[in-house]
Amino acid sequence: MRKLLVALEVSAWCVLGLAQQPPARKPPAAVDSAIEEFKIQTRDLGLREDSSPAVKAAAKGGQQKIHGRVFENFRNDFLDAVPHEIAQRGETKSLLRRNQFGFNIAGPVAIPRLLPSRNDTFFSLSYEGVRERISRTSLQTIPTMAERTGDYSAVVNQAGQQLPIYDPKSTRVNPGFDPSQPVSLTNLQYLRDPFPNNKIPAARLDPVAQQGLQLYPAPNTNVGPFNQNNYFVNSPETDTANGMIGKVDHSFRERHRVTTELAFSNGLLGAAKLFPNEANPGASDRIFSSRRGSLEHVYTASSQTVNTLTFEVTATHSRSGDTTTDFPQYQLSPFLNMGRSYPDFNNKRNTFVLTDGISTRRGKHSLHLVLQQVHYQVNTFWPQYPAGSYHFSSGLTSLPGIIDTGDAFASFLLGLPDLAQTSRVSAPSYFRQSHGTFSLSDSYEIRKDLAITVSLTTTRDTPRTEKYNRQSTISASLINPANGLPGALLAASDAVPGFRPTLWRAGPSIGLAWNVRGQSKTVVRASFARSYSFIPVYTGQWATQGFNGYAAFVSPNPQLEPALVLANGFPPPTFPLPDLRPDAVNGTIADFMDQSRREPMYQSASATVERELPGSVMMTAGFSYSGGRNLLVSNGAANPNAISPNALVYRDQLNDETFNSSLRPFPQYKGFDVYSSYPLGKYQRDAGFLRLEKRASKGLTLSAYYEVSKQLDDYSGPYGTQDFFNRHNEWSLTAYNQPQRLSVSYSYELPLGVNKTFLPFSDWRRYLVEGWSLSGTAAVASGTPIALHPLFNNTGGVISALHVNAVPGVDPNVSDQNPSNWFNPAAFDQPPDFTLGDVARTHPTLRNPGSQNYDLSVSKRVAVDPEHAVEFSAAGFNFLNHANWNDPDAGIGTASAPNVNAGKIIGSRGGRVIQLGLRFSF
Amino acid sequence: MKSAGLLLLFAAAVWAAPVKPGPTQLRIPVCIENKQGSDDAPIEAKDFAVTLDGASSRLIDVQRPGDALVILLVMDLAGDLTVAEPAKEATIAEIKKLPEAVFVGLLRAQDGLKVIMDPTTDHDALAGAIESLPVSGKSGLLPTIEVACRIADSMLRKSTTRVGVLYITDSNAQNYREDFMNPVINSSDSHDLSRQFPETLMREKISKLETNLTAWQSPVFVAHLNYQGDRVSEEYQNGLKRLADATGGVAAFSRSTTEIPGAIEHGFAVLVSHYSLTLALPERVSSNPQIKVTIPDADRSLTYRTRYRLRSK
Repeated sequence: MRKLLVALEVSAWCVLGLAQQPPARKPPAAVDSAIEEFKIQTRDLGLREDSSPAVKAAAKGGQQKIHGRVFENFRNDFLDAVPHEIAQRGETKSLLRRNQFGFNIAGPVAIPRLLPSRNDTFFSLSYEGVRERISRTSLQTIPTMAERTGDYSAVVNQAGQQLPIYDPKSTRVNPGFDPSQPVSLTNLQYLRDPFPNNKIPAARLDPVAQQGLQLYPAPNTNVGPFNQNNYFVNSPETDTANGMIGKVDHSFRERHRVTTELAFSNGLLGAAKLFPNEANPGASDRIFSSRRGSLEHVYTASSQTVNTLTFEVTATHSRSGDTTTDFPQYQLSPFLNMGRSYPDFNNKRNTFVLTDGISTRRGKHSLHLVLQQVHYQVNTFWPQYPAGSYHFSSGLTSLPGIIDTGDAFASFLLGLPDLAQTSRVSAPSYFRQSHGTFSLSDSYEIRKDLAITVSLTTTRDTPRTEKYNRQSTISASLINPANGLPGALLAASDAVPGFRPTLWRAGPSIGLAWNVRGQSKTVVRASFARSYSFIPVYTGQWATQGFNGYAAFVSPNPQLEPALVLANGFPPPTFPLPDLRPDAVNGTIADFMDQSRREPMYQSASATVERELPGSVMMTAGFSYSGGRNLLVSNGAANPNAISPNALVYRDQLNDETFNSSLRPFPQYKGFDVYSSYPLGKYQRDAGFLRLEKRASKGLTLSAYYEVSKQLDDYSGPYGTQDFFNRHNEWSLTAYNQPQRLSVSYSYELPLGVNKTFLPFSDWRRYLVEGWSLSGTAAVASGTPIALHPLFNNTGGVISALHVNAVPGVDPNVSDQNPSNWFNPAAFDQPPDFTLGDVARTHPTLRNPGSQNYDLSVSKRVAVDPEHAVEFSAAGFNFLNHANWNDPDAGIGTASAPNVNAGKIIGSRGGRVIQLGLRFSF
Repeated sequence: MKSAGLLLLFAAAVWAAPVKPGPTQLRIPVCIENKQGSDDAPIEAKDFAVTLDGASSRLIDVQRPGDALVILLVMDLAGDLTVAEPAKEATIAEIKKLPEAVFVGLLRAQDGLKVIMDPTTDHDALAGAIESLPVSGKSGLLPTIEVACRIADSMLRKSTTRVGVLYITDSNAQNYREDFMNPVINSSDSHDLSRQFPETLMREKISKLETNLTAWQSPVFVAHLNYQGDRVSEEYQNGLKRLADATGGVAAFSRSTTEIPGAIEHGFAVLVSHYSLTLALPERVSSNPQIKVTIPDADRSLTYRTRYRLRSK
C-alpha cells in the first residue's frame, strides 16, 4: 500500500512538475551544501514548482529567449571562374548576379497586456528572398543560311559525304523492281530524281516555312564537324522568389501540444531563351506559388502512450508567364526545333493529408499505429500543341528505301510533314485521387542484445477520377464500330468514374539489430521490406480525349506522301466537342490508361555490420539489394499498340501506313500515349558499401562513404526500348548506374587561439585567430554506361528505338583512352535495314566519363558577446575548377558513311562558383 | 586609412586590458583509465601535479571516485517511445547500481529545464519518477545545457563534493524549437547553393555553446540515444561530443535500441569514476589559463578539462 502511495506521489511530481524532497538518507555536510545550493539556484531560476510566478516567468524566459538570424548570400560572376563550356566557345563571361537574403526569428509569444509570456506559446518566423540574373548556355545545331534557301550543294552527312536531296514530285514506280529482293540502290521500288545541283528551287519553298524561318537565328559558331554544333546560346534568365514560414506551438496542461505552421512562396522562373522571339523552343517563363498549412496536436496520454494527430494542406500553382502569340512547333531533328509543345499552362495541385499516429509501450514491445488518408486535387489546363505541331523527316526528300539520303529540314522547306498534330482544349481538367494507409509496427526487444521490428503497411489506392467525369481512355475490350475490332473510346461516368480498380495492398517489413556477444562496439543489422506505390496524378490533360480534341494526321507513307501540306494548315474539325463516339479518336495517337490491377512494387533487403574502432572511428560495411516490378514507364519503354518485330520480314511494305496499321493490336489507332503511367518496368540493384565516420576529435570530423553497385533494368535510357515483346532482351545496365561512388565530407575547427595548438593568443589577436572553420565535400563517381544508337532507322516505323550491331572480333575498348578516342566505334555497326540491333540498350562495359566535384566552405565566427555573433563564410563550389568531360558521341553510322565523331568527346563543363555569406545571429 | 589603423589599435588596447581579479579556485574534472582498459585503484591526491600557465600550482583538494558525488540527471526524451522506454529502464538500472555516496537530482529538459526531484539517494523514488516521465515536447538539451551547467557550477563553488551533469537525450536536430534545419522556403529557387552545407547553423550553435560553457566549471556527460546519419545530425552528434569534451566530460552514442543500455552505462560509469581537483588560483590569472595535469603512472591515460574562461569575481 505504501509503495502504491509512493508511486502515486512520484507520478504527481512528474505530471504536475512538483519538485519535492522524498525521504532519503542524510547527506554528508559537503553534499548538503551542494544540495542547498541546487535548491536555491533552481528556485531563483524558476525551475521549481515552488518558485514564485514572477521569477518563473523571468527565468524561463532566460532559457527560451528570442533568437534568430539575419543573413545575406551573395554571388557574382566576377568571383567565379568562367565555366569551361563558355571558355571553350571563346567567351569570357557568364552573367551572374544573385542576392539571397532573409531572416529567422523565434521565441516565446508575449503580447503586452494581451498575452503575457508564460513560456508555453512559441513562434518562429522565417523569410527568404532571392533576386537573380543568371545566364544559361547551350550548344545546338541549326541549318546553315545556304540550307535555308534550299541550297544543299555543300551539305554533307555525318561522314562528310554529300547528302543528296530528292524531289518528291518526281516519284514514280520503278517498273524494274523485283519484289522478291530487298530494296537497294540496284533494286529500287520507287524512282525519284535528285534536285538539280542539290538545290531546291526557290519557287518550291513552302511560304509558311519561309515565314517561320524569319525567326530562326543565324549560326554563330562552328564547333563542327560539318556545320554541326554551330549555334551557341549564352542567354540570361531572371529569377525572383519570396517566401515565408511561420510557426506557432502552444502547450497546455502538460499533456497537450498544438503546433500550427503556415508557409507561402511566390516566384518567377524566367527561362533563358534559345531564340529571342516567339519561335523560342525553350521553356516558357513560369510563375510559381505555393501555400502550406498544417495543424498538429500531440496528446501525451501517459508516459507510455502518445497520440499525434496532424492535418496538412499543400497547394502549389504554376503557370506560364509567356504572353506572346503561340507559335507552331516545327520538329526538325537533328536541328533545333522551333516553337514549343506546351506554350501555355495553368496547373494547381492541392494535397490534403490527415494522419493519426499512436505510439505505446507495452512491456518489451513498442507499438506504433498510423492511419493516414491523403486526397489529391490536380486542376490542370495544359493544351498540347495549341498552334499545331509538325514533324518532318528525311523520308519525303530521300530516295525511297535508301538510308542516308534526304533531310528533315529539306522536307520542312517543302512544307511536307510526315506527322501533324493539334489540340482543342476548352476547359481545365479537375483530377481527384485518394490514398489511404494503415500501418502497424512492433519493435520487440527479444533480449538485451537483440531487437526486432516487424511491421505491416496496408494501403488503399483509388483510381484517378475527374470532378465532372471528363476523362476517357481506350478500352481494350470495347468493340470499335468502325472496324468491329476491340479497342474503342470509353468515357467516364458516374457509374464508372475511374478506369482502374480500387486496390488494397499489404507490405510487410522486418528488421533486426544484434549486438554481437553483447558488445556495444559491434552491431549487426538486417532488414527486409516490401512496399507498393500507386500511379500518381500528373499535371497535364492526358486521357481526356473526346472532351478535348486531339487531331493527328499521319502520312500514309512517310517516304511518299506528307501528312498534310504545311501551307494549307489543319483541316477544320469535323465534330463539335465533346465528341464521345466510340470511334471518335480513331486514327490518332490515343491516350491509353492501364486498367489492370498492376501497381509498382518495391522490395529491399540489407545486412550491415557496424564496428567501433579506436580513435572514435565508426566503420560500417554492408550490402543491399533492392528491386521492383511494375514500375511506371513512359512511351519509350511501353507501347501496348506496338507491332511485333517479327513483322520486319515485310520490309519496305511496312512504309505503307495502311499495311503497317493492320499489323497493330489495335489497328484503328496510330499509336498509344501512356504518359509515364504504364506499370511495366522492372529493376534490380545490388550494392556493397563501406562507411567510415570519425567523430569530433581535436576539432576534426570526417565521414567517408564508398559504394560499388550494379543496377539493371528493362526501361531506362535516352532512346527507349527496341523490342516491346521481349523485355528480357532489354535487361541491361541502368542508364544512370554509376558503379563506383566515393563521397567524403569533413569539418575542421582550426586549432587556433586560446587553449588550442596554434597561435594561443589571449590578447586582442584572439579575435583574429579564433573561430575559423573549414567544411568540405568531395564526390567522385565513375561514369554511366554508354547508350549506343544507330544514326538511321529503316524499320518502317516498327522499331522506335533501334540498337546497334556489334562487329564480331573488334574490341570496343581502346588502349589509350582519351577525349578524342573514348571508345572504338569500329566495334559497332548500323544494323541492316529491317533488322534489330544485337547490342544491349546500354553497353555492359563501355562507360561515359566519370565525374568529380569538390566543394569547400571557410567560415569565421566572431562572437560579439555570448548571445550575439557574426559569421562570414566563403563557399567554393567546384573550388578546384575541375572540368568534367561531356559524354562521347554514341551515334553509329553505316560502314560506308560512318559518323566521324563517334567515340569522341566534344568539350567539358563546369566551373568554380563562389558564394559569400554574412550572417548575424542573436 | 591612418585613422582607421589608430582606431584599430585603440580597440585592441581596450581588449588587451589587464584581466580583472577572477575566482580563487578552479575545479578540474579528470578521467583516468588504465591503458589496458580497466580502472585501477584510485590515485592519491599527492600523485597529481598541476601547472597553470606553465607554473606549478597548489592543489587544495582532490575528490576521488569513492567520494561523494551529486549527479544532475537531465532527462531529455521527446521522441520515439521505442528509444525512450529502454532509456528509462537502463537509467533506472544504472541508478540502482550507484554507490551510496552518489546523490542524483532529476530534471527534465523538454520545453525548458524543470526540477523533478532534488538530489537524493532514494533509488526507488528516482525510479518511479523516471518511469513516469512523459515522452513529449521539444528537445531541450541545447537550450538548457548552459542553465544546467550554471547550477552545477554554483554547487561546485559552494561545496567540495563532485558534481556532474548527465544528459540522457533522444534529441535530434529536427526536434528543436530553434531552426537548425534551414528548410527550403522557395521551392522555385533551383539555383540555391546556400543549403549545400546544411550543417552550418548547427555548427554555429555548438560553437557558441562550446565557448559559453567554458565559463562554468562543471563537467557535462551526454548519453545520446537516437543516432541519425544525415549531415546536420552528424554535426549535432559531433557537437554533443564537442560540448562534453569542452567541459571535461564525455559523450556516448547509441545507434540502436540494443546499444542504449551500453551508452547510458558508459555515461554513468565515467561520471562516477571521475576525479575532481580543486586548484588554488593565484591573485592574477589570465582569463583563459593553460592547464596541465600529470600523474606518475604511465600505464594510465589521463583526460581532463583544459578549456576555461574565468569570469570576474
